Amino acid sequence: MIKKRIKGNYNGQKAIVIALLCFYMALVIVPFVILVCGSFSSSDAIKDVGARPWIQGFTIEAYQLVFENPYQILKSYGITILVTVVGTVLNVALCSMTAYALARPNFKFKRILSFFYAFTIMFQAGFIPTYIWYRNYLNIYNTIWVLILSPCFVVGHVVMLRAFYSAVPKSLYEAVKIDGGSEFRMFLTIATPLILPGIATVAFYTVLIYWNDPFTAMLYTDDIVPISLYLTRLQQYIALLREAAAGKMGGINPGDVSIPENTLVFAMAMVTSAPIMFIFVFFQKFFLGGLTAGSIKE
Amino acid sequence: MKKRKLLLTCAGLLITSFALSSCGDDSELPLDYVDNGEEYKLTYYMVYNDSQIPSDMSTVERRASAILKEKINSTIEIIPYTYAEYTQKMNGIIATAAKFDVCFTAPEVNPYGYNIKKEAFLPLDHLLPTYAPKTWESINSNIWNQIKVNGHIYGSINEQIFPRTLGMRAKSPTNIQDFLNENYDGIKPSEIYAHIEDPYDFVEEYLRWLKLNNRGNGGAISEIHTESYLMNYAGYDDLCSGITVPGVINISDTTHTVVNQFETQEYKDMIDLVYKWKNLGYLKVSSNYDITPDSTWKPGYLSNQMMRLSDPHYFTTYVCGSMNAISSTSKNPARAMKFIELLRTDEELHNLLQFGKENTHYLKDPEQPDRIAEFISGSGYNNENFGWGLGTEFISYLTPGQDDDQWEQVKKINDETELTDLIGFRFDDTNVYTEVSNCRNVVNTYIEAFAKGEFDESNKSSTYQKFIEDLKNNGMERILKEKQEQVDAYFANK
Repeated sequence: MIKKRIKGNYNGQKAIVIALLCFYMALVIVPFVILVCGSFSSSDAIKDVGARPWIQGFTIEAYQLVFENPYQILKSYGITILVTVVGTVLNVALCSMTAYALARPNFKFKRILSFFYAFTIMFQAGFIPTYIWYRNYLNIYNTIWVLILSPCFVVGHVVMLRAFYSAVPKSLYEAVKIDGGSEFRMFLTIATPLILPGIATVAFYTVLIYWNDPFTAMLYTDDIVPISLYLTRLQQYIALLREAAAGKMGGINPGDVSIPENTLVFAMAMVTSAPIMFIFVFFQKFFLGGLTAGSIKE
Repeated sequence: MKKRKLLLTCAGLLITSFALSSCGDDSELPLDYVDNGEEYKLTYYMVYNDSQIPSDMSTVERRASAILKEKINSTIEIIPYTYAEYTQKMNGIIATAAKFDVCFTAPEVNPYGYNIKKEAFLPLDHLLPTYAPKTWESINSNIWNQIKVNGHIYGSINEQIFPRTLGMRAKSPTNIQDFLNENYDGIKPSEIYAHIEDPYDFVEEYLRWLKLNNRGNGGAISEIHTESYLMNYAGYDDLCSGITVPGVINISDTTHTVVNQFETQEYKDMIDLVYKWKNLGYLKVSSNYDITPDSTWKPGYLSNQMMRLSDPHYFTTYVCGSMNAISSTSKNPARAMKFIELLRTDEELHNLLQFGKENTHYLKDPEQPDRIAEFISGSGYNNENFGWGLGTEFISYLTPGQDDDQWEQVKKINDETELTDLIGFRFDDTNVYTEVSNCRNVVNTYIEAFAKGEFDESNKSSTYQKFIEDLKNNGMERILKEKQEQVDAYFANK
C-alpha cells in the first residue's frame, strides 16, 4: 500500500525526501555494519587503521574470549531472560494499573499519590539506604528477586501510560458503569486494549531496562551474574590490565596475555544487542500504531 | 495545607530517624580479646583479581575449612569480589553492620582511613602481638607506626615489596635488548640504573634511538607519570596523603620542610620536558606506545621489559599499600587474627587461596616442589594476581617465568633499603578536610593535561600560573601549614 502511494504521487519533492531518508538510514545502518565487521576483524588491524565497514583480517578471537566460559554464559543468558520476562510482565502490570488509577478523575488520593511519585523522581535515597533496605528489611539481597523487583516500577512509564489512559473517551467509562461493569473490568477489558500501542512501547522500554542493567546485580548480589554484568566485569578487568600494563598499579602483573582489546568491545556489543534486535522486530508493529495514537484530540 | 505539613513532618522524622540509627555509640572499644576455643565460622571477604568471580569457590572453601578446622578449630566462608567492585561492595556491607571477620583494605581500595572513621575496623594493637606474633615480628616497628591512626593500628600489613624504584617499561624486549647491546655493552635492563646519570635522559636517548632506527612506533610515549616523577625520581614523600594533595617533604631534606610539590623546580622541569618531547614528536596520542611510564620496578617482574632506573626508597604511602583488617562486627576477633597469621605462615592455606587446589586448578613442576608448572584453564579458580593481599608474597609458589630466588631478591631490597625518618608519620586531614578535597579537585583537573602536554604551548605558562593560583584560592597554604605543624609535632615527640 505504501509503495502504491509513493508511486501515485511521485514528484520531485518526494524524491528529495526519499533521498534524505535514505541518507539518514545509511547514517544509522553504517555504524551497525562497522560494529558487526569490527567484531570479526583482527585487533591489530583495527589498531593500525581503525574500524571500517568491512572485515579486516577475519578472526573470531574476540568472540572466543567472550565465550571463554560457555557454561557461565548460558547460565547468565538464562538469568537475564528469566529476569527480563518476569520483570517486564510485573512492571507493565504495576505501571498500567497505577496509571489507570491516576487517570481516573474520581480517584480520591490522586494528588497525594502523584506527589509521592514526583518526589521519587527528584530525590533518590542513594546506594547505602537502598542496600540496607534490601538486605536487612526485605531480605532479597543476593536472590533473583532483587533483580526483578529493583527496577520493577518506573514513574516515567506511569506518566506516559496515564496520558494514554486519559485519552480514552470518558463516555466509554460511563457506558461501562451504566452496564454494571466494575472498575477492574473497565481497566482490563475496555481501557487497556484500547491503548495497546502505549503498553507495547512501555513494555519494550522495560525489556531494555532489564536487559541492559548490570548495576543492580553488581550492587545487590554476590553470585548471580546476568549477561550484562558478565560483560561489564570483563570490560572492567581489561581496563585494569591496561592500567597495570601502564604501570599505574604496582601489584598486578598483566603478564603476556594478548587481549584483542580493540575488537572485544564490538563483540560484547553484539552479544548483548543481538537478542534485543529480534525482540524489536516483534514489537515494531505496535510502534507504528503507537505513533498515531493520541494524534487526534477531542 | 494541613495535610502537606503533616506529610513534611513525617518525611522529616523518617530522615532524622535514619540518620540517627546510622550513628554508632561512642563507647571505647576494648583492645583485649580472648579466644574461647569453641568452633567458629569465619567470614572473609576476599579480593578475586580476575575478570569474573570464580566458578569453583566451593572446592577452595572446603579445603580451607579443613585446614582451619585442624589448626584453629574454625570453618570459613569466603566471599570473593572482583577488584573493581570490592570497594563498593564493602561499603554496603559495612553500612549494614553485617557480621563478618576479615577483609582487605588499602588507602584507595575499601579505604583504610575512611572505614576507621566509621568505626568499621577493630584496633589490633593487642591482637597482633598476642595472636599473630610472626606477622608482628616480621615487620619493622616504624612501618607499623605508619598505619597508626589516633594511636592505634587497625590493619595487619601484608608483606610485599615496600620501597619503590623508578622503572620504565619498554614494550618490545627485542628493541630494548638491541639498544642496550649497541650503546651499553649489553647490560641487563635491571642494572641500567648504575650506568646512567639521569633516568629521563636515558629514556630520551632510547626514544631518539627508536626514532632514528625506525623501530617500534618511532619512539612513542603517552605521558610522563606525575606521581612516579615526583616521588620515585624527585624523592618527594607525600606524607601518606596522596600525591594530589599539596604538601610534600623531600626524603633527603633533614630540616623536614613541607613544600608544595607543584611549585618545585622539579615539577616545572617536568612540564618543560613534556613539551620538549612533544615538540620532538615522542609524546603523542597513539594506541601503540613504545614505553609506558612506570611507578615501580620490582625484581622478577617482566624482567626483560622493565628498566630499572633508580635506587629503591621508602615512601610513607607505599608501605601501607595492602592490609587485612578485622571487622568491628566480628564475634571472635582473636580467631580472626589467628586466621590472618595462618595466611602469612601456612604455605598450604596461602597458596590454596592464591592458586586453588593442586591438580584441580594447577599442576606443580615435578622437579621443583614450590613452582607451578601450569594453570588448568577453565578450572574455575586462579587468584594468581592477588598474592600481595594474602598475608605475604614470600611463601607464594613461583609461577612460570619467575626467578628461583624471586622472593629472596624482594626481601633483600626490603631489608637493605634504609628507612627514611618520615616513615611512621601519617598526615591527619581532619582539620583541613574541605581544603584537601578542594585542592585535590583542582590538581586532578590540571596534572593529567600537563603530563600529556594537552595545553597549547603558548598558554603553558599562563595555565601553570592559573593552576597555582587556583590552588592558593582553595586553601593550599592552610594545608601546607597544617602539614608542617603536624610534622614538627611528630619530630618533637620522637
